[in-house]
Amino acid sequence: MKTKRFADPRYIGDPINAVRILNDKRVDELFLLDITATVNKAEPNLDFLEEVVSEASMPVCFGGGISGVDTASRLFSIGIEKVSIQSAAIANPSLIEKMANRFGSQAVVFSIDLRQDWRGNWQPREKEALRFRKDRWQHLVSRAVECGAGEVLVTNVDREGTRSGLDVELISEIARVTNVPIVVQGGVGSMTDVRAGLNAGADAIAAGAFFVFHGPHDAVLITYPRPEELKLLRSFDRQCSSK
Amino acid sequence: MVGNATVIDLGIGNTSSVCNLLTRIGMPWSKSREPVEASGFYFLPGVGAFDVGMEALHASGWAKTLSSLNPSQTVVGICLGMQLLCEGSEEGTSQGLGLLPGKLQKFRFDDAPEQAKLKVPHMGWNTVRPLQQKLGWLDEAVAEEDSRFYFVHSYFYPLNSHPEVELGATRHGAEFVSVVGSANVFGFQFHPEKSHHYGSLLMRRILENFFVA
Repeated sequence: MKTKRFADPRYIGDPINAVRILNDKRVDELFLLDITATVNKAEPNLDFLEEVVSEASMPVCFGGGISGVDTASRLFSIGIEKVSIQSAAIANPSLIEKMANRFGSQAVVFSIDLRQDWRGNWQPREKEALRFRKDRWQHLVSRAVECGAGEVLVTNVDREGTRSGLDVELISEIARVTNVPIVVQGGVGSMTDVRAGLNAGADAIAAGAFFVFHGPHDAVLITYPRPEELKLLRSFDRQCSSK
Repeated sequence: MVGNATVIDLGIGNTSSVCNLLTRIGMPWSKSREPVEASGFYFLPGVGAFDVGMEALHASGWAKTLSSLNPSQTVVGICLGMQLLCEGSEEGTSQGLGLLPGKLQKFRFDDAPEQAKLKVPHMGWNTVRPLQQKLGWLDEAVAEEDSRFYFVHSYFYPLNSHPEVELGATRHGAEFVSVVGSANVFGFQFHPEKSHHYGSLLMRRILENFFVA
């Protein structure tokens, strides 16, 4: 399924088949996010995930509805490389600490979904967090990293699925808040966008719609940048970071 | 290749990916929590903290089995598995298996100038430079155009500490040792099972070279 601003889910095809195509294209990493799990209080579907992961020859990160160390442990045992935690970690930061102690920081991703409020300020989508006005998103991110999160995944919900470009100002600010690797998604529509995102301080850019939709009518076609394009990006990235 | 490879399951995560890779390259395997003494080839995958890994090795009895392998039996450690084969790590207080010399150190960039501060853990795709002349099984996979391997780790094997077992190097700040090995004991700091075609090729070659059924 692929959504636009986390709404209007569209079926993009058999997941196993999609993973096989992504293997052939030697995709760097796969994020599987179940954005309804927490709302529905659903535990991850391990049988299904195991089937998907067994096909993947790249690292897989899963997020959605992970509420405890035991669930994470089961996910690692079926071959998931990293777990992404959002709601449970915002409600209970010690969960990140427990997971990082048990599985190592590199396996624990703190994920945060942001959207702009009417004032233009970025707010966490997470309802639980909004109850506490003092919990600004910067605070949530730095607290998660202090607790041991090894990576932060930031989703710009306003642009998710829109292919309208990344918000580079937001990315620069995230990069100022934390020193662990940050992955940014929400808005990628071209390789120029990817480049701008890396330039603004992201360590990696994730994309969904950019890879699965094609043309003005959003026809489903799984694509991935050609090796030459990625090579160009890497050499550019090195130039920027070495400045 | 006939016979089975044994994938050691310490119960601390992530053995299926290695099994899946073996299936993809046509290598029969079995996975075991209990020590298996008669296998020709062992894989020791691992994710997590050093002491937790050592404790699991001792509690399961695998530590004893791996310490008394005969020369025709090969063991390959992956990620934490590689580190457990060494003598120890700054991450913990436990002694490693000591099948390979050397101790792991933590990546530290605190004192580095601002532009040289790199992130820890070292996570993502990186290349491997062969350190020994003509190591056929390693050279092919690391020399391929676009060859890259997936890394996730905070502790590293320091370069030039035991050159005789240092087979491949990778750069994160300074270079560190990403492939170690001697006789029948090998370790990869990266995850071949998560490294697409390059990892599959490497695993295929090391099995072809060292698997004695």
